[in-house]
Amino acid sequence: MSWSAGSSAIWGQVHNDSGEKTGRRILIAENNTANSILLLRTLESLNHQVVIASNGQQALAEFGALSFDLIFIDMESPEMDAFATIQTIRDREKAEGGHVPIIGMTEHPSSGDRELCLSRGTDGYSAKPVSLEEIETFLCAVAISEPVPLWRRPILWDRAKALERLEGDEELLREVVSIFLEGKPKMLAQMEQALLDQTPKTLELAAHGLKGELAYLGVVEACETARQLEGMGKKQELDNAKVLVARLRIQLSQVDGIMRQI
Amino acid sequence: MKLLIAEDDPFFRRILEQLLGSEFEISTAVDGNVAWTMLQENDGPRLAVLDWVMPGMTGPEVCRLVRTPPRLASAYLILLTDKNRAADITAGLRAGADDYLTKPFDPGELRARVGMARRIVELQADLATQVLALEDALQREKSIRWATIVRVQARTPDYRVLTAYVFQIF
Repeated sequence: MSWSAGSSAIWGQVHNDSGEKTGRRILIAENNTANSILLLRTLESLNHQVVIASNGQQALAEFGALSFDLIFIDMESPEMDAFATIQTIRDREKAEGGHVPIIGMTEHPSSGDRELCLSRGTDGYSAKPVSLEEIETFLCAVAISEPVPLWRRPILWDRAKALERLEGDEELLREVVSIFLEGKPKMLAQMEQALLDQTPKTLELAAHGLKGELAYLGVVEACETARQLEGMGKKQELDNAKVLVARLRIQLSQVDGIMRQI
Repeated sequence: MKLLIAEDDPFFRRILEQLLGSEFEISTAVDGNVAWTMLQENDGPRLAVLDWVMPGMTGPEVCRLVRTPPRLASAYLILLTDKNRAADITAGLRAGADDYLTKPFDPGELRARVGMARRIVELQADLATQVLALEDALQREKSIRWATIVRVQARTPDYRVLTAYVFQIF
């Protein structure tokens, strides 16, 4: 199979017309040939660099060797052992910092798949085959992690500010952070459901609630995304909301990792 | 002093409760309707922090009801809002709020504003007590005068004398 020449992996197109290196570096962790080729070709046509790993071990080896902007992982095959693989990735990130967005995929979607994936450390879910629209949504959502030098990146979580707002009460900070972390999945789920049901008011209210908490906690970037979503709900313009909800989910996963360390 | 916190978000409920809990006897409501019920209770709180966006009635809707006759005259209401535009704030005050705080609020400002509210509620309570005492004194005065009339009437059954006496004392 030419697409897995030599090693487990293959590089996709890395040059655009001007010869410059563009696009994202994406890992497809998947051993269903047809599906990975389809995803590979689609991503390549969008000028992204793609690496394929056909089992969990290879995926971890690639993850260790390169930094990725996005990972698609098959949640079903036993060789992939996705839950353990994701857990290992997240554990390494906990030690070394960073957060790569992971999208879980299943072939025969059942109603609980999405929630199961999200509860096991993924940032998004898609039924196979991943549609072009979904790919674009995920990529737009990832676009926030533009390669900005570290010193210019805004602080993900201004913990000092949050502590100041609680009059230096560490115990209270721990308590409200856990209230926030506990309520967050529900609010995200409400927003996603609002997009499915086309109920802008629900989106507005859920985004409003999250925005208030994020502002208080000093989570600036995610707060801005929530603010935009609230505005879209208010104006009943849901066209671009999907990308922003996906982005918010990724931003919140990044913050989640940091918050759980306290 | 009793303080009502009406806030649907457990996150902010906890923060407000913790920041103000040492100074007030706090009760909480998770939506506007519950808040309205609690404010109407006989011995209910006279001071309330109301979130703007809540299920059921919103903060400004509760304010409007409180100010609608027969009003809960002495209730002091602080709206909690993240609407920072002058028009929104005016709308909140027009609805009957006495004051407002914008999220994310500074704990110092929260304490200061709630402290001011407490002084006003206490002043009003003092005034009400004094008015009651005055009314009571007046009432006693009146009954003494009636007693006098009855005594005069017993001594002089002449109605002209009595009428003159009544005109003189009232």
